[in-house]
Amino acid sequence: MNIDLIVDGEENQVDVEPRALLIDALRDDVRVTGPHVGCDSGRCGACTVLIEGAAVKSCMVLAAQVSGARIDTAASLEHDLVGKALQEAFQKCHALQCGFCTPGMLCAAVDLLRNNPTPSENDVRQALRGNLCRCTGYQHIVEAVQEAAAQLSNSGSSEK
Amino acid sequence: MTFENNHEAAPADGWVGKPLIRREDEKFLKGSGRYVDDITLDRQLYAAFLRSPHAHADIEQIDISKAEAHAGVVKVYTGDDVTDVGDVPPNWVIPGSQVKGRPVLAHRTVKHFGEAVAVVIAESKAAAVDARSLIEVSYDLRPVVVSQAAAASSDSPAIHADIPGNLATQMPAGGGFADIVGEADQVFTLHLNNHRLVPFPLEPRAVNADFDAVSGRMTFYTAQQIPHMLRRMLANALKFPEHKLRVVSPDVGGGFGAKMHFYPEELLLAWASRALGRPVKWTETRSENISATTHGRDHEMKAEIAVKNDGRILGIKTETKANIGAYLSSMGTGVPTINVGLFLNGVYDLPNSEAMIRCFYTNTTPVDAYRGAGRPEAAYLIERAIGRIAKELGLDESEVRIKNFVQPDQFPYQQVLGTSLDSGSYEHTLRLALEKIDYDDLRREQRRKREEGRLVGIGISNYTETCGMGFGPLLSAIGFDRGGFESALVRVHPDGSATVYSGSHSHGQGHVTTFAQIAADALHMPPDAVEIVQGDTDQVPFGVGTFNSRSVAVGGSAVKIACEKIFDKMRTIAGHLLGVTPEEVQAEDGVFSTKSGTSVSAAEIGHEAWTGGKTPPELGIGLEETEFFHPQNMSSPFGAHIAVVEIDPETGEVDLQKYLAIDDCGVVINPLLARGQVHGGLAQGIGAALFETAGYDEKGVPVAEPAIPRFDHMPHMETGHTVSPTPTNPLGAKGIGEAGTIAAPPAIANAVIDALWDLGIKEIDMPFTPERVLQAMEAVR
Repeated sequence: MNIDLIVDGEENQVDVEPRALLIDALRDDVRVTGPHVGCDSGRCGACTVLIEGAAVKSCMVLAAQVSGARIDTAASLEHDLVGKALQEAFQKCHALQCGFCTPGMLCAAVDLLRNNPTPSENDVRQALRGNLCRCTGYQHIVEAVQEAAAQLSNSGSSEK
Repeated sequence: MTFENNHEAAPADGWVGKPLIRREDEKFLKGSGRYVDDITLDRQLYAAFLRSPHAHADIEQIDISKAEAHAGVVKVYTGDDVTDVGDVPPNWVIPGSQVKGRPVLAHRTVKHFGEAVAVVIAESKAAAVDARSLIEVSYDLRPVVVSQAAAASSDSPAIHADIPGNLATQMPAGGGFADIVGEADQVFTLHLNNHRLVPFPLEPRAVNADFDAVSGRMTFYTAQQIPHMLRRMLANALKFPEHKLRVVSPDVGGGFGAKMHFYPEELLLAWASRALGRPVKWTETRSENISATTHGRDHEMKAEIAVKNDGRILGIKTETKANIGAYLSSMGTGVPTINVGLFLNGVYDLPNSEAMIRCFYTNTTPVDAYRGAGRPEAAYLIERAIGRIAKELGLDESEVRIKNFVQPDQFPYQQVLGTSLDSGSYEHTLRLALEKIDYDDLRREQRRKREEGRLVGIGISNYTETCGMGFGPLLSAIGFDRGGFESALVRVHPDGSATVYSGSHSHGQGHVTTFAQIAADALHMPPDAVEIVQGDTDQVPFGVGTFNSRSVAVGGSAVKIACEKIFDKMRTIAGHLLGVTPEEVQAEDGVFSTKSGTSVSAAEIGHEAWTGGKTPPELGIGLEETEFFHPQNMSSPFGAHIAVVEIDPETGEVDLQKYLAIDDCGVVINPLLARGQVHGGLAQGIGAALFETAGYDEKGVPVAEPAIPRFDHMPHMETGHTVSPTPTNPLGAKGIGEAGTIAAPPAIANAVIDALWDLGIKEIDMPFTPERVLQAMEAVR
């Protein structure tokens, strides 16, 4: 079936099977390889993207379900105030090592900060617990999210 | 700009030691990392493996006809098609081992759940997976042996008909326990289990094998930690010229030791690509990863500990049974013997210690190196022994340690069990840790809380390991055939920038930044002028790879030495261009100048080196050096870790409240990245102690995927460093990648037992789940 996937601001008309998962359509048909496959049960979060601004595990959604919806991946976050602040903070705080969980982690963090601009450490850990990281031990990621939050509130801008 | 370091001038004391943010992060943050599954080639074919749902069975019949007929299917292979391929030969085999390599597709019998039985190769992923479900296999079940205890028993079925007693190998170490046991005041027996773990890198394994019939060359994409070693092993197994095989490991999403072996799928897919003349791609699912990628640990241990009442240990005698799985993986008999046996004395001076290690085949997934690779198993035993001694004798754990440490003036120290430790100030780091965590205050708090009936425990671990392998002849003597050098080919380009082609392979460690810091200091250039290239055997001619926390120590040393040689030539060229002697040339930030103020840039020097117009011809054309750094010895990181737990007596839940790690990894190249390594190792060590298992039911079927720790499972980790430079390499750097996984499980175990001891619980095995804690409490009620 023909569907319309609007990914990182670009329209893509793709022909997918009804059973196609969004993650597979993104990676194989649209050729956006930022979101990754790290499990087969929805437990790892490496596939997390933003659908109409909300963090969603793209392995838990059929591509056909989101035809016409706005989908953002890590590739377009630099154009977003919250996304860019998080990218800079992740680098500053060494919140990534192998990078495999990072695109999904950033999308989940964007959703968190848009809804809760001043999260406590516990808020961060609870909001991001759907995303696994096997390299960092999480502590630097928590620091990065709080650093980004602080930078955003200092510059007087936080985006909903 | 967002992603570059602030380009300041070089710090007076150099770039090494500075917490530079990583220069390679931009692509990961933008989702443009390039992992093997991200790569799709022209005329791509896709593979899907059919795997055994049984742990031990004869294959009576396989019917592939319906699968072959499915739309899009190019070929279906079974074991009968690959009889000329041979099993995957292991690469580290200690002398005297009974070797069974992993079949690329099962011969007539499957011997572990998840063993590959057939492979479908098709024009699309979906076609391959759909066709796979049409393959019909009839199995004749055979008795299953899951544990090493069962495999060792005299009435156990044979996993391999020609291997009596399922014994793959055995290794004794040390001696003299019988001589001193008579002098002991007390002898304790300790039983413990180093349970099986799944390494679980977030990126599953992935392969894309591309044989080009026109050129006769193969390009082999694979998520590996050891691209050059894989090239050799694959070329040998395929009877393919190594120099016509290009192995590319691009970005790799974590390895932890699971991605440093030669796997059956790699051999099969290379063979298939050559047979079909098209690229064949396969990416593991997580379910496959759990059963077909190697596991770690799995030793059942028993120790007799002879002590004096004042806490001095006279000797320890250890017996361990290792479960190595159904077949030998690459390092199958090396890790559980050498890497465990040599480290069972830990940081203590115990000349009358001995060990016997036996490795058994079972109907389980092959076991191989996993972060720490044998040292966590050993540290767990010796550090739990210390904890036990303290409790039995009514002494504080720290006292028992201090009484038995190897002393600073005893280094370099040769352990009776075989390992050589280059340096260590164990009491110093322990006291530092005790002070930093305010130990006396913690014990006071503990006494107060215990009076309220609360179960609070404090546990310590002191660890050491050896990193930065290693010396070739010594490795060869113990059956390790890979070589222990590391390579750096450094070239300064005509534009004055430099590229380091390194045989190390970062899969998260950040070599692009740390190696640039090392190179920048030696070349007197900014780190941003130095590019680091890894992971492509066409660009990097030779190498060994990243494991054993060796990359900075061995790979970084190669970088330093090569760059120093190049710098000498650059200064000589500059001298000629400026009309002074080389000694009169100062260099900083890529500018080569004299006291009188004249200067040339690295670009002018580079241009001259590659054209030879203005310097004497004896200098020779070019500005590049290859260094193979071959260490003569390994270095010994060490440290002291302390864990504080509180256990809920109703739910059995262990709350890890505090964790402090003091580590000595010698000279630290980048403290920010070093801390990241400690955190990551700790997370896996904490995961092993509290959450993770890789258990099987009695049919040899995995019970569940392991519980990998999440954000809210991790405590706040406090870290610190001491610095004892190692004399074994020119950087003075040791290794830090595995420390956390080695030290955390025993620290937490000692804390848990400290909390439960007064209830009458002397032993409890990992993982310390609420269920296990409650069972232990129930057993003593």
